[in-house]
Amino acid sequence: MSEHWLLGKRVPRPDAIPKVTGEAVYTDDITFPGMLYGAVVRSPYACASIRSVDTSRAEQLPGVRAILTPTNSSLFSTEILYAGQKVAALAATDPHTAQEAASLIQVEYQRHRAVFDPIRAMSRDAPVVRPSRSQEFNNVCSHQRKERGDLETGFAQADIIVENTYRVGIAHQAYMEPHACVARFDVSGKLTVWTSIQGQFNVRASLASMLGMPVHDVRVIAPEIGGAFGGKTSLIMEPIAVVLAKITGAPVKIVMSRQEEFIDAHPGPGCIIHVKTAARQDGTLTAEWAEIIYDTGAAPGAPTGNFDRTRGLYRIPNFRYDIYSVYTHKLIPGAYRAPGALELTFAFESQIDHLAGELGQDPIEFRLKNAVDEGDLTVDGKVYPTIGLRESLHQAREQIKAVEHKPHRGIGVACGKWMNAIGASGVILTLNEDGSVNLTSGAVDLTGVNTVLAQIVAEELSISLDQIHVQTRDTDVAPYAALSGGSRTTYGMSLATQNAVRQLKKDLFEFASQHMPVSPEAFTVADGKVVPRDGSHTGIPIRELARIAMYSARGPLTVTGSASDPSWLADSYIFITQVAEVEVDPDTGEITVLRVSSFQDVGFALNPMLVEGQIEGGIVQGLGWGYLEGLVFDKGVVLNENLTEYKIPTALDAPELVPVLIEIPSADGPYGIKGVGEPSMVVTPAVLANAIHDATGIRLTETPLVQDDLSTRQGPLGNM
Amino acid sequence: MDAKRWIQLTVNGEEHEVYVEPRRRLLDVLREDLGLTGTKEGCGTGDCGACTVILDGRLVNACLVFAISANGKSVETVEGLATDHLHPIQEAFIQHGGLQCGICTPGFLMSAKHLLNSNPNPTLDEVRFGLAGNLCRCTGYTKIYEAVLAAAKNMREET
Repeated sequence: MSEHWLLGKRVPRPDAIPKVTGEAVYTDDITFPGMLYGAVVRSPYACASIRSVDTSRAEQLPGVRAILTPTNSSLFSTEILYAGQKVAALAATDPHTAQEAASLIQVEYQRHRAVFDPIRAMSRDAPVVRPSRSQEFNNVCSHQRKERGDLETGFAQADIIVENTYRVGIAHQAYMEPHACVARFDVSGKLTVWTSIQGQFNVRASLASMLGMPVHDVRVIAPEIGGAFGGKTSLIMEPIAVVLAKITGAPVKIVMSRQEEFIDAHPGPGCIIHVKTAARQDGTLTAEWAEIIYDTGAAPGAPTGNFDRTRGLYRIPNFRYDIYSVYTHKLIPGAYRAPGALELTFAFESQIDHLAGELGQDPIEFRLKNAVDEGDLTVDGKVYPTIGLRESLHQAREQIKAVEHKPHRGIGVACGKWMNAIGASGVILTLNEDGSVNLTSGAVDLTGVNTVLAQIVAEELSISLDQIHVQTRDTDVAPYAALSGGSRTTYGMSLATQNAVRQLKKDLFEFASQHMPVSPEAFTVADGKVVPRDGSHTGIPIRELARIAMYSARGPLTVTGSASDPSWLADSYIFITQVAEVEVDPDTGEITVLRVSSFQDVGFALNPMLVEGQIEGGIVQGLGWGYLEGLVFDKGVVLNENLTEYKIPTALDAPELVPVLIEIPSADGPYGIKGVGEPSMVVTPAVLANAIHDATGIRLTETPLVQDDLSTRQGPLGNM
Repeated sequence: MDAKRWIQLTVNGEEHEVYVEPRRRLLDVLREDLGLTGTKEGCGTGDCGACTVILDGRLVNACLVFAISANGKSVETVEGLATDHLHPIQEAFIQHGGLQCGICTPGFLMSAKHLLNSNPNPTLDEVRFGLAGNLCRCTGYTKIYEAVLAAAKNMREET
């Protein structure tokens, strides 16, 4: 990709400057005179009916302005389906008073029998959380089946069958900024909401629909966002803040505490995967069967729709996968960075490793023997284009060769797949009178998208990067943008920007042809000038054309650009191989992750520093889910609802990271890019489990991969 | 509710007198009374380090310090790092991609400053240990270590 002068360069993020000075404004930094603070009362029980709510003591507390309960607000129900469910809310003049008032609200509950384990919930005598969509089982929220070939034949052809049950725990995105929002109605009745969210337009649509207001009467502003990872895609506190603001006539802010984050946000789901995988002695896979049971808690939320997006790495002629999501009396899961991919990859890539071991084959050679290629079919029967799976395995093989083997150390390998979305994307490009460019976007910048959009505009116009000003603006100003998620943002917004800047060039060339004896098609841009390709004229600087246009009959040069795709997913296949090196203490079982190398097909890295940042961050999140993290419940109540007891990786846990970028261009992506926001964490728990097995001979099948299962030294009482 | 009290704080070299309720935290006074919202709240329980400030030369979580207990003391926050130009640590975080969402960044910068004040030439492990009280969920930490080591080198060369 050497034809680019600025794309592919390690450009620092312009938004880093206000972030290092403390000037960047996040939602909780916003205050208004007379602003009230909201607080929420939550159920301590997982399954109950509310008999009564007594607000009399809270009402008497000075500073309390409004109280919402199931009696006076449809936001709250008298039927409790999980511990932590919101029961009542209030607004008061300061956060302390609000918390104090919340503690004074007395709720009387009638408790009912509850069910917490999804397999137990499926039995016919289990308590019903919600009506089942299955004749056969209780509490089934959804079921789908993927199949091909004939399972019996496939298993009959096999020389070896490996069967295991894997369990993946519920893990929180643990973004460092808790959810926050501020709602304010102006005198005319227009609503403005500031909120920490991945998609402004989704919030606008949801609130407008809830309030019966037209969308143009709802303005949603997303200030800087302090991490999200899928956890800030749906409304959580906004409706409550809006109703409190409506009743009181004052702006209302609600900030979730870290405890509330753990008990009532939408973490990555728990999942149980029972799987049988079969192969011939020569290493050819013949069949696979799996039953996948997602714990979707008290309402639909488990990401069951991404099977084809993340599986289909190997040629398996006969398969059947049944994917269930099942209601339990627990909190409601949601999207967490590549939703649905990590848990499936953990199970299926552990199986591949297990089979390779049983057959005495090298795990990389075993994968290469069965890996899909161009022309093979995905699980859903689509045909693969050119893909990077083999290349990533080849590069991983070279890496492994260089690793020195030592006692108590292990090396693991695993592969993964993901596909990025596109999503509705619009931008406005305005050429200023000094030749600088404003780009207005409605997409929330999570990953540095605004930096790469600036690179694209500068590249295409051949003007310097500091002349490009990209801003995320709110729903009143910016064109529509789908939420920033699904690894879509840079892909979709770059397509829109590419369309816009090419239109701007077309307009510039047409205008330039009025000032040079050259036809519009014969122009190009070079060094900030519009010049004829044949060199017949020295050209005119873009800034000069911008100024002339503004004060001529032409008027300002302003264009829009759009992109979308009705199928949501792009034809963009991202494959990754990771290699992990671990050391396991034979006495304590303590795991030290020494190094994780990641060989990921990124299509084309518009900004390698930002792409590496996505990969490194994803790996460490994947490590967290793999061996440190998981919500612990007692009767549906989260016990580890703080960052002391729910351990995310610290600087001492993070290993050496080696992100290797493989560039196999996507067919339709702008400049050949593929999504990079999510895929990196998909593989990590699997590769960690495989490395632990290599070090200890013990195959862990449950996350977090707990260390006291791993002591291999024989003690006086046997294998301790 | 206890009666409010006057306290005196020196923040980034500037003296302030603030009238506070005893239950309010140093973090609340910095953010709400003084408008210094660069110091962030990530957990309120001293686990995440987003509210890290330097109090009389010691690194503290401003969410765990009552404002009245800081009476008469000197506080350094992220807003005090840059003078007429960015501090070398800030510059290094920008150049090395040591931040993404940025909400943990002010805390990391203060921990890094505190570390380099006492140890201008840290090893990688000393950097990791010095930053162990600050959680980052975006970067995987690698580019943060690189930034701090680069800043240390630049600061040594400057002096």
